[in-house]
Amino acid sequence: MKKLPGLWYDPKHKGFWRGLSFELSHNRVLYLMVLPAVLLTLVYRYLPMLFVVISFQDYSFAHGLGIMGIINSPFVGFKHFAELFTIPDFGLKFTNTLVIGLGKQIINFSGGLMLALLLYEMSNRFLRNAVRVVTLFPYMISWAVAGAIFSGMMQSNGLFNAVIARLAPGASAVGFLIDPRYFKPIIILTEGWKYMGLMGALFYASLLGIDITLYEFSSVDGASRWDQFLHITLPSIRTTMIVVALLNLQYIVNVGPDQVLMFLNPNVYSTGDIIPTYVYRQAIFFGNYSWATAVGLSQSVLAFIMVIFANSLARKFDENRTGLW
Amino acid sequence: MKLFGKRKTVGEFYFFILNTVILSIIGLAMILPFTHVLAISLANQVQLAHSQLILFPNPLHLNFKVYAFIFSRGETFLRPFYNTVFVTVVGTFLDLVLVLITAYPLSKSKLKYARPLLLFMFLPMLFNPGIIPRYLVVRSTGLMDSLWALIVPSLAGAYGILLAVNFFRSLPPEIEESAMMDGAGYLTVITRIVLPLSKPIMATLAILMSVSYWNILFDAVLFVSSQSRWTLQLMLYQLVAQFATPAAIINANSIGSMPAPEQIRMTAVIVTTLPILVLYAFCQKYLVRGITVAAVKG
Repeated sequence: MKKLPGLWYDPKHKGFWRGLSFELSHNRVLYLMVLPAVLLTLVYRYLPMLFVVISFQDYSFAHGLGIMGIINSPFVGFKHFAELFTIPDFGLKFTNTLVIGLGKQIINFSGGLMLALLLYEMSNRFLRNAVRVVTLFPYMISWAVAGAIFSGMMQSNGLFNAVIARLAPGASAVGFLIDPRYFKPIIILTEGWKYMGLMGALFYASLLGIDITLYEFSSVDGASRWDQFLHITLPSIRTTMIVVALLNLQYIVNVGPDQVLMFLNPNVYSTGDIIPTYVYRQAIFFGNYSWATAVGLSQSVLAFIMVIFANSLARKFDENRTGLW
Repeated sequence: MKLFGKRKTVGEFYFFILNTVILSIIGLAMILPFTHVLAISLANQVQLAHSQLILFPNPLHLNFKVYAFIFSRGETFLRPFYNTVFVTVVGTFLDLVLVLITAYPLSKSKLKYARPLLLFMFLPMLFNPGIIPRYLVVRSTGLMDSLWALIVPSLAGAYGILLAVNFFRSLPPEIEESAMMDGAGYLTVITRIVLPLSKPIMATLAILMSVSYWNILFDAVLFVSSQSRWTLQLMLYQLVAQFATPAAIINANSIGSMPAPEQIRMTAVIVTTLPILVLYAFCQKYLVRGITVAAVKG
């Protein structure tokens, strides 16, 4: 018999099921309150995990909808996973994915860090607060809006081309949206525009936690502001930087569909088509659900492995053995 | 925030100037796209055809015709507005209620199955099955082409529950305990004591949820097909990414004097963004607090 401090169970009811029914009836109001959310989580978060099994089958709606479809579809093992490498221009799509994903994370991370540090060093309160508030706003709008704004600015008669016309009269308009060469920079920079404020706010919050007296004591010891920056500010947020980098690692592979939806068009497939977008098209327009799920699963597994690997690296090289766990 | 003035050294002074310049550029880069969009939506059509190089609306020559056009086309522009408002209001309300009534019991450590249940709610965060399984589940539950498909799957998310549980744990238990000793049942305790104390977390959650529901795009693309159920974001998506000319999506009979497509797009952007802007302006403190807490905890 387990004896726990502050008895929350009635020792008279021995046995798991008796204890369970006692607990549930004793606190029935509380458990009833939790029930709706538990059901919802079960259906909309756990059931999709079950559906992952279709990546090992040849699932199609012809076999029936929902669970019946899973039961009736033939089992094909790892066939779809092997097909992953046979998609046209796999190498190209893979490099596109990596370059875009990596570029985004680097810009977001370094941009946010730079922003936070600059804000921290800015003594004028008005400018500091104003920039903080303003940079966070792009995070609040959806990619539909952001996509509409930047697409509008990049049209052949849009703002950017108007500026070009003014600076270099006679030059022909640049087709930013349909020229493959511009797709990667557009995607990476617009993502930076949207998320720099958020990353900045994150790092800034951790900068606020640094003890001010450290700076006072060090200046007494003759440290310059640059010394203080190098030896107090930066090391203090090292933990945050590592954790944030680890958390965002998965986004190199798990690209969100919203942004790409707004900018991708057939003209730029050569530089812009990445594996998630190709998979999305295959699944929604051609009904290739099993294959698409297999690719999605591979992506999640890959991201997971990356995070575990990076985490162990971080723990090995950091003196505090910082890591996500 | 350092306490040094800019008089200490020359180097510091130059750094201050540099910092000011860089921060100002960044700040402008965040604002100017919006002012540009506003300017285009209010611009004179003749001037627009000449050049789109305008950054601010010209207060002397404001042209409200495009807005009049948009608001007169109820089916095309006001219906998405109504749909988005529906999803946001209903979604936020249901989500808030669910999160609160779920987090309250789970914050009580004396509840035997509180910890396993919390683990149950958080585990899906680790393993994301992907777009397709989610799509199939929503199809199976019969939510296709319904606005509810945008609401129900997002209800009672782990982030909100995490925030609320932490908040409830920070409340002193003595208040509830003394009330229950005086004979109050859970319902009385919650409505009379806990809820009034929960205003901060309710505000934070409500705002975060509202922004999230307002901005749903990909789920709408997946699950909503009929034009009568479009949300604002979906309408923008159709205008921009699908290169649908406004004429195509407007079921109008008199296309006669239609403003330029760019102006319609930009005006649609303003209509979609304005509520979020207003919300942000007034509640920015709560938003920042909610985001940083969620991010730091996560």
